[in-house]
Amino acid sequence: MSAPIEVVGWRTRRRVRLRQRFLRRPPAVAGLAFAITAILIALLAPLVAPYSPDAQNFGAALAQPGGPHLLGTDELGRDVLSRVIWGARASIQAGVVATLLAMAVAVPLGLIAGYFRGGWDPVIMRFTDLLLSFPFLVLAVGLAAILGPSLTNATLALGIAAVPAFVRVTRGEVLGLREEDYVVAAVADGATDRVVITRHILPNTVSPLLVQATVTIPTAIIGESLLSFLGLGVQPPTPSWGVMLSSAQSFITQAPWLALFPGIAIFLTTLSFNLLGDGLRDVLDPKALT
Amino acid sequence: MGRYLLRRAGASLVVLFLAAVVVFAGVRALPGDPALALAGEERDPESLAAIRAKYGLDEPILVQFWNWLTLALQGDFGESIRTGIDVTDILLSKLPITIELSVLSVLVAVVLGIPAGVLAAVKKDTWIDHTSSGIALFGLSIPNFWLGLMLILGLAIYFPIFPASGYVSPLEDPIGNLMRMVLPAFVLGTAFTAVVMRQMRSAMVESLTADYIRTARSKGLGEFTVVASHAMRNSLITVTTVVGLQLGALISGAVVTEQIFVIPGFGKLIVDAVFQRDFPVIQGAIIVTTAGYILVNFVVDIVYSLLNPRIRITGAAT
Amino acid sequence: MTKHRLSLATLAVAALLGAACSPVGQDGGGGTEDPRTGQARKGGDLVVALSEEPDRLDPSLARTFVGRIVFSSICEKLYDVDENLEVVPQLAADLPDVSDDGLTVRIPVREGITFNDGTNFDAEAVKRSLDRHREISGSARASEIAPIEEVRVVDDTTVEIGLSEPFAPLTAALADRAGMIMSPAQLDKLGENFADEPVCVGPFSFAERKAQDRIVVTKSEHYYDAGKVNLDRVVYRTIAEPNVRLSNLRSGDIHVAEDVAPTDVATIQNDANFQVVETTSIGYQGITVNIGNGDGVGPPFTKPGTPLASEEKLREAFELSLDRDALNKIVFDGRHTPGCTPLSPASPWAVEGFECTPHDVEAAKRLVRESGIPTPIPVELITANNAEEVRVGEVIQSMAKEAGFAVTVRPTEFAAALDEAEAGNFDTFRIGWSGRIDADQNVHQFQHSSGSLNWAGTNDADIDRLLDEARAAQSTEERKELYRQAVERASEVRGIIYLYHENLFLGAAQEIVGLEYFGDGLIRVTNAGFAAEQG
Repeated sequence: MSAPIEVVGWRTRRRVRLRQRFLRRPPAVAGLAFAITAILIALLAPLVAPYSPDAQNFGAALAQPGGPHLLGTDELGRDVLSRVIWGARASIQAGVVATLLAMAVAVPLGLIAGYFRGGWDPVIMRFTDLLLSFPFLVLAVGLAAILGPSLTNATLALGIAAVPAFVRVTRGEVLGLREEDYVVAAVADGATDRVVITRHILPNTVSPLLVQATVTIPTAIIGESLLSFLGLGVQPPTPSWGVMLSSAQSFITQAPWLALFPGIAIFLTTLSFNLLGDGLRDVLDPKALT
Repeated sequence: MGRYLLRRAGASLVVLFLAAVVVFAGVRALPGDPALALAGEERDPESLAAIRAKYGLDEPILVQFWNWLTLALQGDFGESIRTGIDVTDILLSKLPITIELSVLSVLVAVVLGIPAGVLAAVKKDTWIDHTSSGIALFGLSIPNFWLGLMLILGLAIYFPIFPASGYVSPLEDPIGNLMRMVLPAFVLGTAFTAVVMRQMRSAMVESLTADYIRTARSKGLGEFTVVASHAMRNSLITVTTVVGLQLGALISGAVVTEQIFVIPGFGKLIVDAVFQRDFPVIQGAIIVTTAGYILVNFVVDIVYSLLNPRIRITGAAT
Repeated sequence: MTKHRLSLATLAVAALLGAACSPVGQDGGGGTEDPRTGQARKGGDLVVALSEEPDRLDPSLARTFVGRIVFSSICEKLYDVDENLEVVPQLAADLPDVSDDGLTVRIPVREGITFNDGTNFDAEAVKRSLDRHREISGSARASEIAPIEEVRVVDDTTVEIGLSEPFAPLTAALADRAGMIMSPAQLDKLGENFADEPVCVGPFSFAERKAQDRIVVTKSEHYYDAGKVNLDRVVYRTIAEPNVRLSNLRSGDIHVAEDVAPTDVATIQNDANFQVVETTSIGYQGITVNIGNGDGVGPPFTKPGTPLASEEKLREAFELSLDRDALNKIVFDGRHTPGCTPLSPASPWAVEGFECTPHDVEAAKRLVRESGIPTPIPVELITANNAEEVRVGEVIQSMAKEAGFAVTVRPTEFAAALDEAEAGNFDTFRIGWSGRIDADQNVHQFQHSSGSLNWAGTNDADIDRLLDEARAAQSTEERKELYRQAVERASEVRGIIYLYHENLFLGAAQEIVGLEYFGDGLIRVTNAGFAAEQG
């Protein structure tokens, strides 16, 4: 209460120490680097891609990798490399936006349930249990089918499907924090709920939420490619890794590279987020701090 | 404990009821008229009206829900709009297939994941640990539908060791059945193996540093005995509960795996029924899945709180 | 994971009522391939992989094409078609005798044959089945034989059908499911659950069905031509994914694969262990343009307000921009048959010497310019949400772009797409028709203003008149001329821009002989078998 300056100082020091701990983990750093690269590639796709992703060239259909088309061409003669690069947009948009969406819905719910408890807690928790009682993909496929196929709707479906996990994490964390001495003290001193929540509760839920986010992003990326694979995601001619895999299926013997490269792209992206998530967990784990 | 059990069971039933409501409403929120979808190429107004009447699709939604619910409680999920076959029969014929696939993939996960986890924990921070942790991370990151495609390409087309897909009943052809299950079980088991390995490793790391293990060591027990009988036993309990909570992931995975390998199980049933707008089948399959899932969660929850009353269960998701 | 076959694919790919082992000279596509002939040995179980799960096996209620493939081995019909798609008697003893006013049709039926449960087949049984087709709730047949007012039993071997209006397509309808005759004893027993254990006259009789897995039929001892049947059993399995059907064919798990993708044909042909059987569908594939379906199928016809609906010239420009041959080459390896009418070259009703609108981008651009509508002109195209259909959409998109159209491809689940089509909530819709034997069944319901599948909202007095006359006319020559005129007019209105006729491919093991694949595109296994050992 009386020493806000010291709190800030402690936080800054902690941040520096965390950064150092993070940087000592090469896999996590590599994950972060690749994730940033993937995001940059997605943002800069028009500049990075050697060809237009939907320029058809029937003369050059199903060209093998190498030559003018580094990763070959697809059945309509489109450059696979360019499509993989543009495909990053759909995947990363779905991964990141779905996660942010889930957090935007789930964090307030988790806060209400964990902080105020009372009447809302059971309601919110039954709602969470309800969503949890549908397997993630079954829920996502159902929602995407209801909403109709498009990237926005697929993102929305994945976001909703990811809500319950975030609610549980937030609530669990908040329940624990409420019992912490400094929170109890703050409440006893007559601090308003708003102050307690914004000063003491929320900042401390950041770490677990961050870790949960790094788990959710790759799940949503795979989810997007799966929905697109099923025809419930991105609309043509917009490239998406899942759409590419879906159409590659009919050429699996003639042109295996069509299935290979988008799959590798999905794999590397999810791997990078998983590496990052593992690193963050190690670094932020309170047990590891002591 | 009795009170807790009762409350927990009550909550589970409420969730199950809500799930039924959601499934029923969700199915009707799907765009597209099942009568139109069913009508095929002969979609004259009279036959559409007859289809709607036959399946009660023209009744008020609450009446439809009530009719469905009361029958479902007696184990009657109606008949498939598309094939006219009893949904309960369909579910009963699909269930063993998905259960076989799941059991096999759990087997894969246990056989590969547990030794790898133990080894990684015992040899913590050596190259063995790094390698197996790395492989686990790969397993977690690889999209399983893509892995399935690649395995079909490699081990069924280029090197035709396994059949690419399909299913035969083990009663008809036990060896053919197993051969067809190898790739799907591996694909479905991959992410699972990774989870088991990581859980096992962290549980073992923790228990290997625990006091009672140190005591056991100091008593001069051999390292193998310490690891195998003491540390592992305790870690296995944690891992088992975690595995139990992964049932949802298993069903999600089955949806994907069954599509890729064309296995006529629950997952494929659900996806196909969604695309065909076969309302009774979607409803029956999802509610049974959900009920199973809620039941397992309930059991795990109870077991967990018996074993360790202080531990609060968090995320069981995905 | 995969293409969902209940999609336009139901209409499109699995499509086809039809196909003909085209007689020389009618073949529009690449060389068609005949099935292997030769001596078959007795015995053996044939495994056939279907592209979709058949629906209920009740001739009055059944709606799927794959269901008809199964019926072809267990339920014979009053009439059938031969390899030239000409109607021939099957359970009828002869072609029908039509009265001068066209209102009374007399059909002689065969005597001395039995249903697969051993009961007797007679005119009474025929009446029972035809009445059931017309009257059962949820009948899928009622509309096909709607003009039938009454079925009378004249004697044991003759039925007489009273019509409300002359109806030339009747015989063709009776060569399909509406002509299937069910065992009255079994109908008594099962009633509306006939599909649980269907019994008809046929070379095989129904044995068991495992949902979403297999349907098994066994050789019938009651069949009148049992001596010609070689196989002991036929097992129909459902394998929706084309590449999976193929790999199962390679591994020997199945002997016959329905609906092989055109792009896979070469691979099978190059393998000495397999044969490809090909035939051209009597259906068509095209783009339905919404020109008068602003608020739901049928009258009143309101224009949806899109440029394509308002300007006939723009529809012409759109068609001019499409290169049918290139589309066929790019997406289908050149294996389908480009065309621009609803009547396939495989059908005896084909319009001879019909000139298609050529591919002419310059002319298309000129028309677009003349219309004064600013480019790019937006056009939304609904397609099925499977990879192949999306590919077709993308090719159309890139072709039309050159003429100044900005096509948005919107892959949609089949069930949802149908709703949009019914409601008139679309610009253009990539859909086809599996085809029927009679010309009327391929044109009337789509182009006539009263047609139940007139999704385009075509409302043209000339087309209506020509189609009505063709329905009532009795002479084939007269009807052919009327259809020629109707098709010509329809190609100016462009409610449907016809693109191509599918060629259908059956993959089969080399050892299978005697498969018949023609006419209605069914896989006829009556005379099929495993090749006898040589020497």
